[in-house]
Order: sequence, then structure tokens, then C-alpha cells
Amino acid sequence: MTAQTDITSLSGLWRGFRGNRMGVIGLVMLLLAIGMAVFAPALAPYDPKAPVKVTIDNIYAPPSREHLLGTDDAAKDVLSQFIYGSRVSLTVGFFAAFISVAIGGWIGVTAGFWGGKVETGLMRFTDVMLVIPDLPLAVVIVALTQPSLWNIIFVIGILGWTGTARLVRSKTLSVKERKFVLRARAIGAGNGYIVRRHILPLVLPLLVVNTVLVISLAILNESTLSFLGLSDPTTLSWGQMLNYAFTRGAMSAGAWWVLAPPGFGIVWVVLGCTLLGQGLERVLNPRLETHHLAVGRQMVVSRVKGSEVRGSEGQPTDTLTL
Amino acid sequence: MTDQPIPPDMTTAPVLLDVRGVTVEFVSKGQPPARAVECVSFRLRKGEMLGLVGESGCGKTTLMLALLRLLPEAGRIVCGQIDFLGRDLLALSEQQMAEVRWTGISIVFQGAMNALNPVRTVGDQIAEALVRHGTLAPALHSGASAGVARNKKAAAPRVGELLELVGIGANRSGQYPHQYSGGMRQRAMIAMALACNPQVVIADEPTTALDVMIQAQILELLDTLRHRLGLSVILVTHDLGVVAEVCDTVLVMYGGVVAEYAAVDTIFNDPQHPYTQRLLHAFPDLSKPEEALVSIPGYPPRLDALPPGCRFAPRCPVAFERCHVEPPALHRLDGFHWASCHLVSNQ
Repeated sequence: MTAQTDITSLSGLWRGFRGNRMGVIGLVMLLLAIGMAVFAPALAPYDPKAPVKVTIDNIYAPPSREHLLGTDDAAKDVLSQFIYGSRVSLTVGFFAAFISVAIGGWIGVTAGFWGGKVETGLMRFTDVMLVIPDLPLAVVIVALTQPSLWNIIFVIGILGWTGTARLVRSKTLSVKERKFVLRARAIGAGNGYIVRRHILPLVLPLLVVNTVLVISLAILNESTLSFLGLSDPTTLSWGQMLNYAFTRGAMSAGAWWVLAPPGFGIVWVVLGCTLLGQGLERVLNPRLETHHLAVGRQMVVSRVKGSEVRGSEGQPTDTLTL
Repeated sequence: MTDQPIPPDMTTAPVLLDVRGVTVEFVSKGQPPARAVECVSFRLRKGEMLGLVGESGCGKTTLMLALLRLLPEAGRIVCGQIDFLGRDLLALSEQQMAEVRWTGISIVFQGAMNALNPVRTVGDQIAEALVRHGTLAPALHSGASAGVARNKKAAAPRVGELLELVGIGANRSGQYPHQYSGGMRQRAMIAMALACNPQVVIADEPTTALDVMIQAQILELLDTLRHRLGLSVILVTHDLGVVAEVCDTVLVMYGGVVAEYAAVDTIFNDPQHPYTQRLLHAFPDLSKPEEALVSIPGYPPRLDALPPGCRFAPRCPVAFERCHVEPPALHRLDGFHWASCHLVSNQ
């Protein structure tokens, strides 16, 4: 019986999530990427920044026993770069998403809950931020400031919150009209308390799903900026690997082993995030899964199943397999 | 604690709540303000159960929310006075008002499912009021020492006690609203309303969406608790049968004004306002099974298009010229009987 998943506890959340195959695959993909980033020093066969031994054979050397993914133009091991590169990509992704969701969540809840002029002001500001194309603005800001890792995180973070803000605002608007908010006010609760104890718990599932999806966006943005050569040249990320491969002739040399790994890494993480986000959404918002109209059909199916069992084994069974 | 009913004495018991001429308007942009409640006055004495009856949209809930100053943003209390224990609630600061809510006057909302937060346990939500007001006074008059609830943990025994008081096992305080039945949710709401030992409990249609059996249980519970804890209750309802059974006094509202206000016996035996008379005719009486039910033709007035005279005039079978031009004042008939009708003033 999958009557209703109890999503109010962590174990309940996990029980509901476990059944979602795509979500679990996404989680595993993401965990593998995180594991790779955390244990990079143990996993990487070489120092990603030090050239192994610059001989003519080592430049754009194809995959071999010593270098599983070959070497790049500076005779550096691509596999080691790929493993270390995940650190920067994931760091930027997580921190930037955290900033985005914090700003977006705060603006959304504030605008939705307080309404009036506060809402008008905040939402018009959001609209302005929404229509400014993210990438050119990010390029301009990064170009004007020093292109360090934290600057990139900051820029991606402060540009990516608009969608979250709008989403959270609309959810807040619907939650604040619920009767229990009026009840809490009747009890004598203040605005802060109501937001904290009554609004946020209902907005939180939305925020969690949104965070996972924003992470993938942030990783994509980071890769784009790095690819455009706007990242800190001393840090190593997947986007930067692509940039080097593109600008230093890996394409014309036909060295696909330099291009493919970072591209594959980006797709892997973004896909993992998306699958995980959708999986979480299905658990946290069960209405996506079973519409009330769908219930009838399921019941009929289960009944037919039950009668089949009875017919084939000749024994009455009263368990409905739902 | 006694289970003996406190005899409601409508003349000598101390007045808890004195509402005088309360008028509520709703303002919306580009439109004239809509008067939802006009010049409503009544008195609530200690131990009294007042029945507030009227059709949907006649301003019952608005009036109740006005008492707690919990009107939606567009609502304004434009005039009147609400004295609670000698203090004018309309003159209090928002902070002082927050103190009065729940410790002085609490409310059982219509539709318990909506009034409970679905993602938090019932016990947790009952504890909310206790923690907010820092009171852990056990059930009124029991004489045990009152503690202070600083956190949810300290409030747990009292939460259990409150749940037991309304007939729910204390072990169910850790459950979520969806694990409760409809009747239990309503009981939990009553427990919540009683948390801070209020003197006045407003029950806003506490039995809507419940079946007749559960309805009877909830009303019985309210009545029992009233006698046990010495509460004054304002019962908002459509159900005249309920009013006849449990209420001491009745306030009949129509289109935002008081139509008639009297003791329950007077209302049922000697109604003066044509609306009250028609309302009673529209309600089945088991003792006269042969009598046909007569509905009142027409609809209640729209708030943005109120008739210029008496608000009931367009539907009133005995209306005459004056009714259509001049709104009647609330006339006092005798000791405890008021009605707003020109016919009454002619007598």
C-alpha cells in the first residue's frame, strides 16, 4: 500500500525516494562525482599540474597504459586533471547554488509574506534581474573584478536567484492564506515566528528541489565562464580544461581524449542533479505521481490481479496487491 | 472542579465582553467601502453561551474576527468599542492585543483541517500557544501550581492533559493532522483553544463538515467544558436546533446588522423580527411534524448594493413603505429583548 508517503521525517523521505529509480540513479551519479572530488589526491595517478616528462611523444599522447586518458599539450595527465577538475566544478556548483537559493528564498518569502510595497519593490527588482541576460553580465563582472574562484562563485550566486525567488514567492502566497497562519496569529505569534514555524516548513521541500536543480545550473555557468577564459588560471576546472583544449589546438590535433572527459564530467553531474531533483520533487509533491483520477484505474488493475491468482491456484486470496 | 452547571444568570453574572456599535468595512481600490458589519452590540456574561446565527455572508465570522482584531488586510473597524474586562480592545497596542488573544479570548476556527499545519504534529501545535504565552497553568481551578512553559518539552504534560480533556489519548500528541479523523481534529482545535485558560472561547461553526453524530459529540463537549471550566462561549452556527439546545442567549444577524437579540426562550417562543420568524419557520420542528417548511424567498443582500432602508425589506412579507426608505433602529422591547424592525417600534 502506498497510501501516502510520510515525508515529514528523514527516514520517511528516504523510503519514498528509494522507490524512484531515476532519482536514486541521479543520487548515485552525484555521490560518485562528490566521492571523486573528495578523494582526488588518492585517485589521481599523477600531479595534474606538473608535466610528466616533456618529450615530443608526451604531447597529446593518446590513451595508454601509463596515461589512461592520454596527455594534453603540456604533457600533463588528463585523467588526473579530470579528477582534480571535479573539485572546482562541484565547489562552485554547491556554493553558488547555496548563495542563489539563500537570496532567492529570502526575497521570495519576504515578498510573498509581507506583500504590499515590499512585494512590489522586491518583485520588480527580481523582474529586472530576470531580464538581464546572465552570461554577458557575469562576463562583465568577472572581467572587472579579479577572476578568482570565490569571485566566480559570488557572481554565479548573485545572478542565479531570480527563478527561485519567483517560485518561493508564489508558494509563500498560497501558504500564508491557509487557516493555520491566521490561527497562529490568533495565538499571538509574530511575523518572524509564523514565517519560521509555519511558512518555511511548507516552502522547504520546494527549496530543496530547487537547490538541486540550481546546482546543475551553477556548474554549467561555471563551465561556460571558464570555457570563455574568465576563470582563475591557477585553478583547474572542467570548463578550463575545455578552454585549453579549444585554444591550444587539441581539436586540430584530433586529441578527443582531452575534450571528451571534461564534457562527459559536466554532463554526468548536471544529469545527476536533474534526476535527483526530479526524484525529490516526486516524493515531496506526490500529486505529480498519482492524480486522484488515476487511483481508480490502479484499483481495478489490482483487483484483476487478485482474481487471476485465485483462478490459477484455486485458493482464495484476500490480499490486494497494490 | 465541579461538574455542576453554573446557572447562567443573564442579569447578575459579571460582564466579560461588552461590544458596542462595532462597524466593520472592507476597503478595496476604486470602490466604495463595503459594510460587512454595522453597529453590532451585545454583551457576554461569565458562563454564558451566546448563539450567533444568520445566513452565510451576514457578517458572523467577520464580527468574530473583529473581536480579536484579526480581520484580513482590507478590513477596518471604523467605529465602536469592544470592552473586555473593562479594557477597550480597540485601543490596545498590537503587542497588548497579542497578549489578550488566547489568554483572554481564543477561537476555534471553522474547518479544522485547514487550521492545523499539515507538516507539524498536533501536540507541537498545541504547545505553540503554551510556549508563546509562557503559561503552564493546569486546568482552571484545579489549584495545582502553575509552571512556566519555556519550551515544547516542558509543555508536553500540559498538552497531554489538554488532549485528554477533549477525549483524545495523550499518546496521540505526536501524530500529524492527517492521522486524525475529522472529529478528532476539531477536538484538537478545541484543546488548542483552551490551552491558555481563556475566559471567552469563540467557536466559529465548529461542526461544519462533520456528520450529525460527531456534531452532537463536539457540541456536547463544548457544553460540558463550558460548565466545567466556567467559560463563556460564542457559538457561531447556522443550526437553530443547536442554538435551542445549548445556548443561553441568541443574536440573530442579517446583512451585517443585528436583527434580534434576546434570551433563547424569547427567540424561540416570541420572535419579533420578521426575519427571525421566517428563519424559525424554515427550520424543521420535530414536535410539529405536519407543519410545512417555508423557505425565505430571495437572497441576502450584497454588501456593495445594500438596500437603502431595512436590509430585510426586499424579502420581508410584511414590509411597508417606511421599511424601504429608512433603516430601523434597534428597539428594546423589554428587559432582555432587542429587535431592529419598524413594526416593533409601532407597537
